[in-house]
Amino acid sequence: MAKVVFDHWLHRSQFTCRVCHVDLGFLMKKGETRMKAADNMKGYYCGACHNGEKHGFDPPVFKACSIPPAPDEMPRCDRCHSYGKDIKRKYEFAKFTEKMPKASLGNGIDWEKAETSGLINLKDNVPGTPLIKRLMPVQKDFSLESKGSWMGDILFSHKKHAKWNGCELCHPDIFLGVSRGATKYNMFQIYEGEYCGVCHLNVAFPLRDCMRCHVKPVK
Amino acid sequence: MNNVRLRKAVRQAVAVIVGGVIFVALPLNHEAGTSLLSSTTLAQAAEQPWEQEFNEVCAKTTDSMSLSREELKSLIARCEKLKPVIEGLEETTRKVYRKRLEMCKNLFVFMLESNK
Repeated sequence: MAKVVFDHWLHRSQFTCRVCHVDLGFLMKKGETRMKAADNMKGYYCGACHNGEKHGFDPPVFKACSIPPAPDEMPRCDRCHSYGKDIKRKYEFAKFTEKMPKASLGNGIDWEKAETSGLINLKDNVPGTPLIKRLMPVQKDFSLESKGSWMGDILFSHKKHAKWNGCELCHPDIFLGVSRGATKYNMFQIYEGEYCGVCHLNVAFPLRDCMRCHVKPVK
Repeated sequence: MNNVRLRKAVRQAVAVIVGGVIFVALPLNHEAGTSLLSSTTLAQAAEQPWEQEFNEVCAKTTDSMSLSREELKSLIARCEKLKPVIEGLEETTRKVYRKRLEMCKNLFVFMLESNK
């Protein structure tokens, strides 16, 4: 069986981060989850959605795994296990995102704008994870002082982050400090994949897009 | 005449069914803000007691900023109580819920620390 090619961009266009990384238990680093086909077949991880049921999609979401797969099931296996294979994907990135707002860096899509403009409508729940979710009361946006005199201060929006991630994805695993300013970190650590770098190095808009965070004018 | 009665009866039956669905759905919809009501309800119906407790405790993470110290302490204690139960589950369930419980308990501890 070939390795799985996972289209993170496709899943992020349908669900908030916390659906997968909190409710379904997918860890944040590649390979750390140690998921098996048997787990999917029991209805966990990919199998929570990929079980042949609708979950608000039409046609229904294809079933994840079967062990051993019947010969006629192989095309279904290939939808994920496609590494190194010449498989036509059902959703092609270019076509899927052609009407989405563009960004100059990252994968070229401004996902935040895509959501605020209603082009994507992120689901915050999947069946089997019946946690009751409410709108969260969160802190107002606050600024973080830039260490470089050539760079404006950061305007951090808890609201935007909490909407997609919930609280427990960042606290305390990624940001341990209990009060603002208590955790000291710098761009070197962020570029090493810590703190903001956990997401903004891999998935969320890239660190090179400085002005998306350092929005305040240089003093 | 029979047709009129039949139509009336059908209309009444439809109204009762629709009314029932709305009655069941409204409280959930109000709290959950989700469109997956029927699936959620079905999933909840099949829950084990530990799972119910888990869902009740960990659903509080969304309110964590407004919880009192006592409430946070009580939630942490409930997480501690759930831990051995989850450790006794089969491999996959244990793997998934161990991590989820850890995240949820750690957040409550974090909030308790920040509420000092």
